[in-house]
Amino acid sequence: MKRRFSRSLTSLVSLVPPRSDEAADEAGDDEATKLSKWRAKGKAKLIKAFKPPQNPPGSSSRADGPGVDDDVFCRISSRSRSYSAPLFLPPHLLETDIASRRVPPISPPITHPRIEDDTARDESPFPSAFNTCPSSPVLDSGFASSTPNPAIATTLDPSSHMFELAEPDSEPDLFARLPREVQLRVFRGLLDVCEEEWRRDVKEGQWTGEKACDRWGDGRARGRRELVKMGRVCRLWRSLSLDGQLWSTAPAASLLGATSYSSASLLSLAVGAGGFVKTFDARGLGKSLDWTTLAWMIVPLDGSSDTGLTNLTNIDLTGCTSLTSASLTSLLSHSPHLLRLIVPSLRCVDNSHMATLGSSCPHLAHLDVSRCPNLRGPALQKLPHTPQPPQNTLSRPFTSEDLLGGLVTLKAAGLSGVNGSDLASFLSRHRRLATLDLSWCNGVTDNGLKLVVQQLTPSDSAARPSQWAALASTSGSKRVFPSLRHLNLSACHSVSTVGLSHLAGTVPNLEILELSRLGSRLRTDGLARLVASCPKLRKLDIEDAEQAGDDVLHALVGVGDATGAPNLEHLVISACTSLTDPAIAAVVRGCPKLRVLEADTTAISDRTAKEFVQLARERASQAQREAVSREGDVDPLVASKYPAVLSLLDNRQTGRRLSRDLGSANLRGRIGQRGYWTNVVGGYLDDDDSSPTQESLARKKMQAPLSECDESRVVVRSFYSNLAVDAALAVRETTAAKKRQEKAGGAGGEPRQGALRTRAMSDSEVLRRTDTGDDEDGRVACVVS
Amino acid sequence: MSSNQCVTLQTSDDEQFKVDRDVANRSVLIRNMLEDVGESEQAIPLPNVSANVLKKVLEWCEHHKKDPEPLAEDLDDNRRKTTEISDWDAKFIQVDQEMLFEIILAANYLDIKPLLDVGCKTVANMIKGKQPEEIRKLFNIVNDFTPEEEAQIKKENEWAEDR
Repeated sequence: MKRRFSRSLTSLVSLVPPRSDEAADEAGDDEATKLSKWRAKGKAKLIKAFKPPQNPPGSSSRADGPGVDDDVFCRISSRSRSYSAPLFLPPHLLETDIASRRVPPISPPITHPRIEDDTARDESPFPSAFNTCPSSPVLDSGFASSTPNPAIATTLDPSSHMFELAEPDSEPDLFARLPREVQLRVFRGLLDVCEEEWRRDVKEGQWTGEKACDRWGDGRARGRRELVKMGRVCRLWRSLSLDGQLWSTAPAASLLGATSYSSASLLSLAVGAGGFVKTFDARGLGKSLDWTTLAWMIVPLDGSSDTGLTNLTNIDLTGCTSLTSASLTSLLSHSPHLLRLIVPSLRCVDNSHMATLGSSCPHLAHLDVSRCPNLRGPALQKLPHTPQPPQNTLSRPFTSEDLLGGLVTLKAAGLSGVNGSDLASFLSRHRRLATLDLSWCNGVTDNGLKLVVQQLTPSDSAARPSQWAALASTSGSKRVFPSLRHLNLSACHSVSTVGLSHLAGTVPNLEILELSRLGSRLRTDGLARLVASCPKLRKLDIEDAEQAGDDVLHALVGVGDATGAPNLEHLVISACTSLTDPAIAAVVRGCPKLRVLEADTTAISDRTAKEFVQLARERASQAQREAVSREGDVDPLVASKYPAVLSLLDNRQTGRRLSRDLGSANLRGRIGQRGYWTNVVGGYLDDDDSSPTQESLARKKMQAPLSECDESRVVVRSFYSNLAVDAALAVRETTAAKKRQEKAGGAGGEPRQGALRTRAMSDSEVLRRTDTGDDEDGRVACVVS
Repeated sequence: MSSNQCVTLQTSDDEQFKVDRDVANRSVLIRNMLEDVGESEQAIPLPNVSANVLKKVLEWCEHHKKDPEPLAEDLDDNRRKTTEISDWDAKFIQVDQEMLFEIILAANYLDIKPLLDVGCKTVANMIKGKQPEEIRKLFNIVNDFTPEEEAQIKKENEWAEDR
C-alpha cells in the first residue's frame, strides 16, 4: 500500500488539478516500499533535504560526514551573543540558523522515517531541537496564528515535497509521521484539554479545598507543565514543546510561579519560542532572568542584532532585579508593537528608556514605572504621543483623532522631579490618558494642579508652543480631561484641598479617585465639590481625612438636584474621624451598588454595619452575576473578584454582635481565594466538596463556620473576626496534629500553641454557632470539638 | 445550489463513494473543489485517503452534516471557544492508534477542522499525565537523546517533573 504521509494539506491542495510531478512521486513511492533500497538512495536525498537552503560552502562537508555528533555542544561565535548555545545544536545547523534566521527553517522531522539501526541513525543528520526555530515572525506574521497558514506551511515544510515515506519498520512511530502543523495542534490540544478540564471543575464547583491548592491544580499551569514534561521524550517532541506557537505567553511566570524556572530553562524557552512571544510575562523571576534571555527574544532580520525585531506587545518585568539598563534598551528599541510595559521598582529603568520608548514604540499605551529610583519626572515628556497640532487649531474641539495616540495608563507612583508645568504639557500630549497614578509624588503641588487646569492664553501658548489648550467647556476657563477615569493622588504631601478644588469640574468621567494619606489637608468643602463633580465614581478612597465632614458623603448620595454617585461600589473612609454615623448610613442606603466599605476607626454603629452587611450581600451577588456573564468564559474565577467587604478594624464597639445577629454562615473573616499561590499565606479555609449532597452541604455550612472562599458570604474584618481567623487556623492545626498522632499511634495532649490559640478564640463572636442559643458570654468551644 | 446532489469520491485504492453534497461539504477541500469545478459527473480523486479511512470520516460527516458552519476564524485568542469532545465523537474516535492517526491525517488533508480537533484532542488526552517513558512506549518513539542531553533537559525541566 502506498502512503504519502508527508503531504501537508496545503501542498495537497495544489495537487488537486493533477500535476506533472505525480509521476515522479509514483516512482518515489515504489521505491519507498523497500526499506533496503530506500536506505541506499534515501540517504543522499536526506542529506540534500536537510541541508539548509543557503548552506555556506564550508559547512556542507561537515553536514555530509558522520561527524555530526549528537552531543556537540557548541558556542556561538558570530554576532554579539558569546554565551553558550543552550542545547546540542549541530554546528552546521547552528551557523546557518544564526546567520540567517529569517530564512524559513527547514523542518525535516515531519517525515523522518524511523531507523532503528544504530549506524543508520548516526549517519542521518538528525533534526536538531532548534533548527525549527521560528522564522522571523515579522516577515510571516500569519504563522503565529494557531491555524496552519497555507503559504507559510509550504515554505516551512520544504521537505514534504522531497520525501516519500518509506514503508516503516515493524513498529512505526505514527506520531512522527504527522505533518508538523498537526503535531503542533496535538500539543496545543494538550494545553486546551487541561484548561477545559479545569474550567469545567470550576464551573461545577469541584475546584475547591485541597484540589485548588494543588501545585498543578490550575489547568492553565498544568497544561504548560505537561508541555514541558513532554520535551523529554525525544528531540522532535522537544522542538515541538518549545515551539513559539504554543508559547505566545512566555514564560508565563505569573501562572507557573516565579520559582519554577532556572536560568537554563528560561534560556531554552527563549531560544525556542523567542520571536513568537507576544506577552513576555516574567513577573517575579528575579535573578533567573538575565540579559542573555532577553537578547534571544529579538529575532535578527539580516544577521545583525541591530535590525532585529520582536513580536512583543506586553512586557511585564516586575521583580526582575538582575536586568541591565542596556539589555532593556535593546529589547525596547526592537519592539515596535509594544502596547504595555510594566517595570515597577527596577533600578535599571532610567531616563534614557523613556526616550527609547518615544522613538521606537509608537503604540505604547500602558506604562508602569512606579518607584523606579533612577527615573525622573521630566523624562516622561519623551514618551510617544501624537504629534502636536499646528498653532491655529489650538481652540479646535476635542476630536476622535486625539484618541489614537499617546498613553492610556501611566503609573508613576513615587516618581521624583514631577512638577506642575511638566504635568500640564504631559496631559495635553496624552489626551486619551485614562489612568494617572501620581501617588507619593512630592513634586505635585496645589499650584501645579492649578497650572494643569489653567486654560492657556494665546500668549502663553506662543511662549511655550509645546502646550496647547484643551477644549474649554462648561467649566469656563478650566481645561477638561474627559478621558481621565482613574486618578490617584494619595500621599502627595504637597497637595491639599485647595489644589483639589481646582480639579473640581475638570474630570467629569472619573471613576476611581484615590486621595488617601492626605490627612488633615483634606477638608470638607474642596473635597465635597470635587466629589460632586464626578457623578461616575466607582471607588473613592479618602483614608485618613480626619478633617473631612459629612458633606463629602452627602455629595456621594446626592441631595436635591445633585446626582451623587449612583455607581459607587467601593468606599474607603478609614480613620475619617469627623464623619458621623447617620451620614455613613445615608451612603450605605443611598448608593445602590456599594458593596465594599472600609470604615476602620470611624463612628459607624452596629446598626449601620448590620444594615450594610445585609444590603452588600445582595449587591455583591448581583455584581458577581454580571461579572460572570461579562467575562466568565475568559476568567472562570472572576466572581471571587467581586466580594462584599465590611472592614471595622480598631473599632471594638462595633461588630461584636454581627455574627450572632446575621448568622456566621453568612460571614467570613477574610477574602479567601483559590489557587496554588494561596499556600504562601497558609491557604484559606475552604469547604472540601467531597460529598456534594444537599443535606451534607447544609450541615457542612454549620460545621465550617469560616469558609473563606465562599463568595456568597460577606467579608467582615473586625477585631472579633480576626480572632476567629486565628481560632479557625488553630482548629485546623489541632485536627492535623491529631491526625498525625493517630497515624503515629501515640496519644498525647493538644499542642500547646493550638491550645493557646483556641483559648484566644473564645472571645470571638463570629465563631458562635447560631443554633446553640448561647448567652452573650457563651464560649465557642463547640467549634473545637 | 441544490443540496440533494450526490458527489462521487475516489479513494487512493480506487474505491468510489457516493455521498450527499452536504455531507461532502463538511470538507472544506471538497467544497472548494466543487465550487471551482462546478457541476461535474467525474469522481473527485482523493489520492491521500484510503477506503477504510474515508468510510470512517464520512460516518463523522454524516453525523455532523447539520452542524452550523464554524466561524471563519476566531481572531481573538483570549476569547476561546470551548469545544469539548461530545459523547458521540468520543465514541466515534475510539479506534486503534493507527486508525486514529489516519483519521487525523485525512481530516487535515480534507480540511475538516472540527474532526481534526477531535482527533488532536484525543491524542492529547492520551499524552496527558503520562511520563516520558510511557509516551515512548505508547507511540513507539525511540529516545534519541544522548545521556548527557537527557540529564541536561531533566535538570532544566526539574520543576515540571513529579516530586
